[in-house]
Amino acid sequence: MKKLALTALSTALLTGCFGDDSSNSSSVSGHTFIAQMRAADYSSSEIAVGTVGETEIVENYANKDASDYTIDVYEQYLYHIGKFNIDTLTRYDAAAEFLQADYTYSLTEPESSSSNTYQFVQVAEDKAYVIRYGKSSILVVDPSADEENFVLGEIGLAAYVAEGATYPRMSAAVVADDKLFVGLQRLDADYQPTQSYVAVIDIESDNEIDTNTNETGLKGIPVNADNLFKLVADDDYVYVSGRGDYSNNSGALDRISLDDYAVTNLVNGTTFSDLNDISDDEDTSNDTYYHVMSIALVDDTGFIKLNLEQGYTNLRSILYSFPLDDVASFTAVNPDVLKDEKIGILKSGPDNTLWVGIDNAEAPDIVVLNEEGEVQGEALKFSMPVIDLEFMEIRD
Amino acid sequence: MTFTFRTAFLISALSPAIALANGETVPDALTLPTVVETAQRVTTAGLTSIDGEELQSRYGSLQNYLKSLTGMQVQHSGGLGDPVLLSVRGASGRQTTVLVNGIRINDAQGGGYDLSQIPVDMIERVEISSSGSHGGLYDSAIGGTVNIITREQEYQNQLAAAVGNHGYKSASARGNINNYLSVYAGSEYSENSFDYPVPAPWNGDARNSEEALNNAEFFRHTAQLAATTGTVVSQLSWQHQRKNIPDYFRNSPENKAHYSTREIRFTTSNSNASASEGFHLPWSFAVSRKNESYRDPESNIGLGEDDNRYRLRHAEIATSPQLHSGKLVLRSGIRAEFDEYQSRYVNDTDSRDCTTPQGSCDQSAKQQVINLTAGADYRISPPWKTSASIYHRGYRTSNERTHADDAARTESKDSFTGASASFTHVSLFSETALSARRSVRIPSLYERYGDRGLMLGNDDLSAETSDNLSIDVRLFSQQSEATLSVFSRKTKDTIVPIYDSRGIGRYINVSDSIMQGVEVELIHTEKLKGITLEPTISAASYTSELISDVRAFEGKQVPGIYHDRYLFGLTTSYQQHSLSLDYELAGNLYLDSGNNIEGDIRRSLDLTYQLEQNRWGLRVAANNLTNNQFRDYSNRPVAGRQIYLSGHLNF
Repeated sequence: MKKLALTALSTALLTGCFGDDSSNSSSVSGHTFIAQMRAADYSSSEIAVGTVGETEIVENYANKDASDYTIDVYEQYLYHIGKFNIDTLTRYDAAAEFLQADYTYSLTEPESSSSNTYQFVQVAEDKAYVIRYGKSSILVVDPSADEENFVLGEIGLAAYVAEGATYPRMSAAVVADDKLFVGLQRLDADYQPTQSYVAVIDIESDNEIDTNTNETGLKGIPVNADNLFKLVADDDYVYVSGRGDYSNNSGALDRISLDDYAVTNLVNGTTFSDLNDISDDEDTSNDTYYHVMSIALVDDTGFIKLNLEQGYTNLRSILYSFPLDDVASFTAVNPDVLKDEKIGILKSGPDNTLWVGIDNAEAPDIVVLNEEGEVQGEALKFSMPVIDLEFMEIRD
Repeated sequence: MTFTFRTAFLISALSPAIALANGETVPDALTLPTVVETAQRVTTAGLTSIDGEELQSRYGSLQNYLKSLTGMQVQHSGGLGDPVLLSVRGASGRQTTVLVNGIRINDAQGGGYDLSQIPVDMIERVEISSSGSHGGLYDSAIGGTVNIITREQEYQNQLAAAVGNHGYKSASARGNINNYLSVYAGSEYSENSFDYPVPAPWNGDARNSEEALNNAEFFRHTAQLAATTGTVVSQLSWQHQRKNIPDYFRNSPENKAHYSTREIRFTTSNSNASASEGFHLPWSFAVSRKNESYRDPESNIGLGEDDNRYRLRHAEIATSPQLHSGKLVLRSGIRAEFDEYQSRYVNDTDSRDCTTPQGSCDQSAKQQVINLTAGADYRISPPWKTSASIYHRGYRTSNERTHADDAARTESKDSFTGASASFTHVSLFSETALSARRSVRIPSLYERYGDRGLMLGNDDLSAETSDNLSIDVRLFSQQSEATLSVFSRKTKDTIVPIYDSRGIGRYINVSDSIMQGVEVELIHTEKLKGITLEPTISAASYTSELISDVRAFEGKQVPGIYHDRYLFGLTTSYQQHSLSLDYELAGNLYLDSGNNIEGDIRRSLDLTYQLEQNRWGLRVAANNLTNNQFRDYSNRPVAGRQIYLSGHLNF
C-alpha cells in the first residue's frame, strides 16, 4: 500500500468529474480503496472507489468497453493500464483532480505486437518501470514527462525466453531493498510453463544483477513457482507464488532472501497433499489438485490462496495463513463467509487487514479480514468482480 | 438518450383511424385473409414478404430490405463478409431462425447464420414472420423467422453487375438450360478499404488515426443448379468465400489472418403445398457440408499461429401432411435434423490434446433434433379465423475429444414442448391478429461444449425459452396502410458467457428478461400528374428489464438492440424512374449486459435511384450518405458512406 497526504476528495468532485453515478453522497477520504472491476461476461470494465472502513462504494468510473485493464498506484497517482491489444497508460492525479486523467500515453511500439503491460512500478517521481508480458524488455520511463520524452530506456530480458517462445512472459514485479524483482513465467511456444525465474534489477543503475556469480547462465533466480503469478515483499524476503499448470503441477510458494538471493521453498505439490483427490482409474479429468494461486503479507502473517481445481474447473478456494517467522506452520482460514467460495483477488490493506475478493459473478463481494483471519465489518458489495485493488491515503 | 418524440405520440396520432375502424361493421361477404400489396411489400398481420425482383431493384440487398422494416434491426458492422444478423422485435440475432427453402441454416455449432450469404439476385421471395401467428414452421423461434426462397425455373435469363466504393464489384448470371434445369452463378468482391480509426497504428501514427484497413478483402463465389420436375424442386448449391480478418487494433500490414468457407448443399422438396381441398403431403430433404478454416500465420490476431479447421455436416428430412376440408385445415409434421461438427487445430499440440485452459480443443460433436408438430386452422365464420399448433422438440447432443488422453465423451438430451395460437379477424379494410406462442432456442454446440476460443463446455446448459403475446392490427385502403403491433415477451434462462477470475469462461443460464414493445407504421401512396409519392413513417419502442442472478446485470436493459427506432421514407416514382430517400434514427442501445457501455445514436440517410426498363434496369444507391460512423452493435464504427451502381439485363 502506498501512502501520501493528499488533498481532500469528495464525492462531489468525483461525480463532477465522472458524471452519472449519484448513488453515493458521502466523501471519500482517509484510506481509500480503488478497485478495478471487470464484467463477468468480459464485455466491459470500470473502476470503483470507497473509503476503507465504510461499505459505500462509488462505481462507474473509467468505464471501458474492454475488460483487460489493471491498476497501479504510486503516491497520489493512479495508473489505469490497458493490457493486451489496448496498450495504454492513463494517469490520474489525486492531488489535482482525482480520476480526471492527467494523460493517456500509448504503450505500443511501432511495427510491433501488443506490449500487454501487466504492471507499472513507479520508484520515483520521474522514474518507473513498465512490466510488459508481451515484450522481452522492461521499459524505463519518466512518468512526469510528456509522451515524447516518456521512455528513458529499456532493460533487456530476452535471455529468459523459453525455447520456441517469443517473450519471457514477465508477469509480476515488486520493489525491495532498492531493487526491482521481476517474475518471468517463461511459458513455451505452447504456453506450457518451464522453469520460472526472478530477474533482479538494480534501480540505481538499471542493470540486471547477477544473483549467482558462481554459475554461468542466466543472472536471475530460478524458483520452484512454475507459472509465476505473484511477487510480494517484506523487509527481508521476496515471496513468489506460481500456480503450476492445469493438471497435477500444483505450483509452489518460495521466498527469496534479500541478503543472498537464496530460495526457500515454502509450499510445493506435497505440502497439502490431503487436499488432492486422485482417483484410481486412468481418467485424469476427474482428479482434483490444489494450486498455489496468490500470496499476501499482513504485518507478520502470510496468507496464501489455494484453488482446488479439477481440470479447468475451479471447485473452491482455501485460504491458509502462516507466521512469517515460522513458515512451515499453516493454519486454515475459513470464516463462514468464505466457506466453499472461490476467491479472486487477495490483497493486503491498511491497518493490517487482508482484502479477499469472492470470485462469484452473482455476488462479487470483498471480505476484509484481520491478521487472525477474522472478518472485519460487513462485506463490500461490488456490482462486478474485482480483479485488482489498490489503496491510497487521502487526507482532509 | 431521449428522443424529442416517442412512439406514444405516433400511437395517439393513429388512434382516430383505429377508432374508426373498430366502429365499422364487418361485411359478411368477406371470405379470406386479404393480402393487400402496398408499397411493393406483401403484408399480412405479423408476416411480411417481398418478391425477389423487387428486392433486387429497390433494395439491392436483403439487409437493406430488412432494415427498412419496422421491428427489424440488421446487425452488421464492418464490410462485406462480416456476418449479417437480424434482430426481430428486440430479440437477439441468435434468437432469430433463418431458413433457405424451409431448411434451417443456423448452424448447430455456433447457432449463427449470415443473411448476406444468399446473393440478392438468387432470391425468389423472402418471408419474415415476427408475430408467430402463422403456425408450424415459423413459430418456434423466440424472435422471428426469415425464410429465403431461392430461384427455381426462370422466366428470363439475366446478367447483373455492380460496382461500389471501398473496392466493391460483383457480377452474376442466371438462366435456363432447358425446361427443367436452371442455373445461377455469381461472384462478389470487396477490398473493404474504408477508413477506420485504428487505436494503435502499426506505423506509430497517433492513436485513432483513420486508416484504410489492411487485409480486409473479401470474396464470395456462388453457384446453383436447380431442377424442376412436376412439383418436385431440387437445388444443388455451392459457395466458396474468404474473409480476410483485419487487425483492428494495430492495422498491421504483416497480418494475413483469414477465414474461409466452402459449402455445398443439396435440397429437394415438394414443399409448395397447395391450399386446395384434400390431403397434401409436402416433404423436403436436405444435406449440406461446410468446411471452414481460420488461419493466422503471423499470429497477428490471437496469441498463436493458428491453422484451425472446422467441418460441419447437416442433414434434414421433413414431412408435413395436411388435410384441407372446408373451414378446417389439419396440419401435422415431423422434422428430423442431424448435425455433426469436427474441429482440428493443426498448429497447436495443446489444443489437439485438450491440455489448454482455452476451449479450443480437437473435438467432434453431434446433435440430433426431432420436431413433432400438430395443428389446425379453422375459419369460425367469414371474418374470423383461428389457428393453433403444438410442437414437441426433443434433442440429443454428444461430444468427444478426438485426441486427448482422457477422451471424455459427454452426452445430454432434453426436450421442450411449445405451442402457438392465434385469432385473426379480417375485414375489407382491416386485419387483426391476437397471437401467443411458447418458443425455444436450443443451445448451440459451441455454447454447450466450447471450442474456437476461450470458452469451456457446460453440460448443464439448458435451452432458452420464451412466452410471447402480440396483437397485430393492419388497416388498409387503396392508398394507405397503417400497422400497429403491441407485444410482450418473457424470456427465461438466457445463455450468457461468464468468466471466472482466471479468465476461464463458460456459457450459463443466468438471466431472464421481460420486454414489451410497440411498433407502428404508416404508408401512403398519392398520385399527382403521373408522379407517385409514397411517404412512410414507422416507429418501434421497446422497454426491457433483465432479471439476473448476476448482480451487475440485474434490473438492466437487454443489451444489443436499439430500444427506440424511427424510420422515415419518401419514394417518388415517375414512369420508369424512382427515387427513394430513407432516414433511420435509433438509440437507447447498450452494448453490454451491465449497461456500462452505451452505443451511439444511429443516424443514417440512404438515397436510391432506380430506372426500370423492360429488358434492363439500373440502380444507384448511397447508403449512409452523411458518412456517419456511429459505433454499432459490435462496438466498432460502421463503414460509413457506401455507394453502389448496379444494373441488370434480361433476355
